[in-house]
This record gives sequence, structure tokens and C-alpha cells, in this order.
Amino acid sequence: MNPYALEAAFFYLFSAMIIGSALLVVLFRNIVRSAFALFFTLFGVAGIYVLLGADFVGVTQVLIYIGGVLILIVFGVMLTHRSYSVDMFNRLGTLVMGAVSAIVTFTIIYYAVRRAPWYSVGYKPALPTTQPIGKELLTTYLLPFELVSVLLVLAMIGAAYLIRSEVTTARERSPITKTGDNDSGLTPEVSSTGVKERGK
Amino acid sequence: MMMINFSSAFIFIVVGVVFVAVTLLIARLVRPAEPNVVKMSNYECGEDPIGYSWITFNIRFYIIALIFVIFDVEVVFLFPWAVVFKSIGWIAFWDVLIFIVILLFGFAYVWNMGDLDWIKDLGNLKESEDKQ
Amino acid sequence: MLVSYLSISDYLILSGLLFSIGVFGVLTRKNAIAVLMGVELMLNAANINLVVFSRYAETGLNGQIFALFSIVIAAAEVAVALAIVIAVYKTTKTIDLDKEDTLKG
Repeated sequence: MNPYALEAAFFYLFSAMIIGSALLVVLFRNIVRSAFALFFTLFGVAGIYVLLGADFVGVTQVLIYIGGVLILIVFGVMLTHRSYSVDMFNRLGTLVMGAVSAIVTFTIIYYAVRRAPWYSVGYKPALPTTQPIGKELLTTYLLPFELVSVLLVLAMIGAAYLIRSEVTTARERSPITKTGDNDSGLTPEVSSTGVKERGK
Repeated sequence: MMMINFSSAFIFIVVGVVFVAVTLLIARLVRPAEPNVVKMSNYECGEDPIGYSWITFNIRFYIIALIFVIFDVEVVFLFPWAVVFKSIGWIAFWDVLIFIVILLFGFAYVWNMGDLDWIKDLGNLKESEDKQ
Repeated sequence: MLVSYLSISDYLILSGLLFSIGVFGVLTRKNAIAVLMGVELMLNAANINLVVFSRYAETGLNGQIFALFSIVIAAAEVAVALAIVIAVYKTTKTIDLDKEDTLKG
């Protein structure tokens, strides 16, 4: 079978999957269903990556996006369940304006892509990319590679700090409660938040 | 070559989906459909459930999931490193050691602040209030 | 001789379509987490572009490594964004974006 025809067949399969499920993501009223539709979108994008010869990026997409980000989103949905009762969409006027903006955006992109004089580099064999990516990461991209860990640590500390407040530990509270006169710039309301939260 | 490797993964997914779909379809065709009130209850031999099942989960689950995602990303970066480790040598080892040590600082912070404790240490808090 | 059925513009139009759907989701949703899902769609569209250019241009693997870093940053972004959403929910007991109109807890 013609390999190009096979590639085209898979491209249209994955495209239909991506576009269809992406529409469901933005149209479902139940947010849990949106999250499940997002699963299919992300999986289709991973398929497109593999089709483009980016096997490692495709696997990363499955591991990080589907295995990580989507799980976090589902957890976020479960932790804020009361929003189910809230109507998911804005008023009709906003819906129409949103649709118009999306269509205008797509039209601009479409004409830009169609009119641009793309030059083709011809056939490139799709080779495994894990090894060259590893080499690049440890040589050319060493600094970004190390900075990723700094970014992840900052995200972890920041998110944990934002989440934590149900019960403030004694260690945190001591600097404020020890000093009699409050000159740390924190208002009394802020310093007593831990106690108030605990009372609930 | 690479496409052939991934085609086996694709066939695996397709077979998995088709297997489940066909099994459910056959079950639907074969089984008798006689619903009644007892049969349609959530737990046929158990208690009747009370209230709404979409309870708000404890927020500590989110912190666990968060740390999982952070170390998930770390593993993704360790994979290409492991592939080229032999050809680059010991410098690669030190590079990745720095990477992991920085991440462990964050882990130590979260651990130290008590975010990983499933049961919050209320005794400590009470003690400091008594001291005042 | 084999003729390629797909060109670079097919992939770019796919990503443009995905991006537009994300724009629609971000603009019309009221639920903060649903808005976040729209942002994820837009990020994925951008990542597709990076990988497509890596495939169709003589840039080596740079595009793919960019996409890799982009995915990692998206993971960090979602972690912090959801933490903010949950913190807001704990203060105001809602994640309806129309009702989040105060800056002071």
C-alpha cells in the first residue's frame, strides 16, 4: 500500500477524533463529560505527533498530558463539585460573540496558511528520536533542562502553598503570634485566618 | 520502521476497543431484559444509598496528585538521558544529579510543611496556643 | 513516483481549527476549570505547529524539543492554575467566573 495514502488515512482519522472531541469539550454542559472528551483530544494529538515522526514527543504527550494534566483537571473538578449546578455557559449574546471570534480567528489562520509560499523539503525518513533528543538535552539544551527542574519546584511549592490553609501549622503561625505588636505588615484578619478556617 | 513499531501499539488499542465493544454487544443481544425496582437499585443486596454521590473530595488528594505530576515530568526527562548515558559519560550523571537534587528540595519543602501528613498534627497547634 | 497526499498546510489548518475551538471555549465558558480546558486545547494547537515545522523544515530536532519544553511548562501551569482555582473556591465557594468580581478575600 502506498505509504502516503496510509499517512493521509491516519491523518484524517486522528483529525476527525481531535476536532470532534474538542467540540464536545467546549459544548458539553457537564464538566466531567468535557474532561473525558479532552482525553480523546489529547490522544488524537499524540497520534498526530507520531504521524509526524516525533515519537518521543508523542509518548511525552501521553505520559504528561493524559497521565498527569488530565488527572489534575479531574481532581480539580471533583474538588469543586458544587459548580455542577451553575449554568456552564454565558448568556446567548456572549455565545454568539464567542462563536464569531472563533470563526474570525480560524478564517485569518486559514488564509494565512493558504497564501503563504511554503517550500517543501521533500521526503524525510522518520527515525527514532529518543537518542538524538537525549543528546541535545544534555549538550545544547543543558541550561533549559536544568531550569525545568527549577520551574517544577517553583510550581510544586507555589501550588502546595496555595492549597494549604485548612489548618495552619504552629510553625507557620509562630512568627506572627509571638510578636505582641504586629509590625509584620500583616493585618489581624490575615493572621487569624488559620483559626477562623479551623472553626468551620 | 518507527511507524511499524507504533502500528503494533495502534493495533493493540483497536483490538482492545473492539474486544470490549463486541463483548458488550453480544451480552446485550443474549441477556433477557426484565428490569424491576429491586434490580435497578444501586446495590441490589446492600443498603440504599443516601444523598448525592458527587461529594467534594478531600483537598489533600490534590497535593498528592500534584507531586505525582511533578515527578511524572521528571521521569519523562530521565528516559532520553538513560538512553544516551553511556555515550556521554559521567558529566551526564552530574547534570541529572543536579536536576534531581533541585526537585528533591521541593519535595523536602512539601514534606517538611506537613502537606503529606494524612492526619494533620493538631496537637502541635494546641500546644503553641497554650504557651501564649 | 510517490505523490504526497498531505502538505504542511493540512496540518496547520488542523491546528488552526483546534486553536479556534479553544478560543470559543475560553470566551464562552463560565466555569473556571472549563476555561482551563479551553486553554489546554489552544496550547495543544501551538504544540502541533512546533512539531509540524520540525518535520517540514530543515531545523533538526529543535521544534520537537521546543514542544517537549512546552508540554512540561503546560503541566506546571495547570498545577498552579488549579491550585488558584481551588483556593478561590475555598474562599468564595464558587468557581463561576461571573461572580469572581472581588480582589479581596
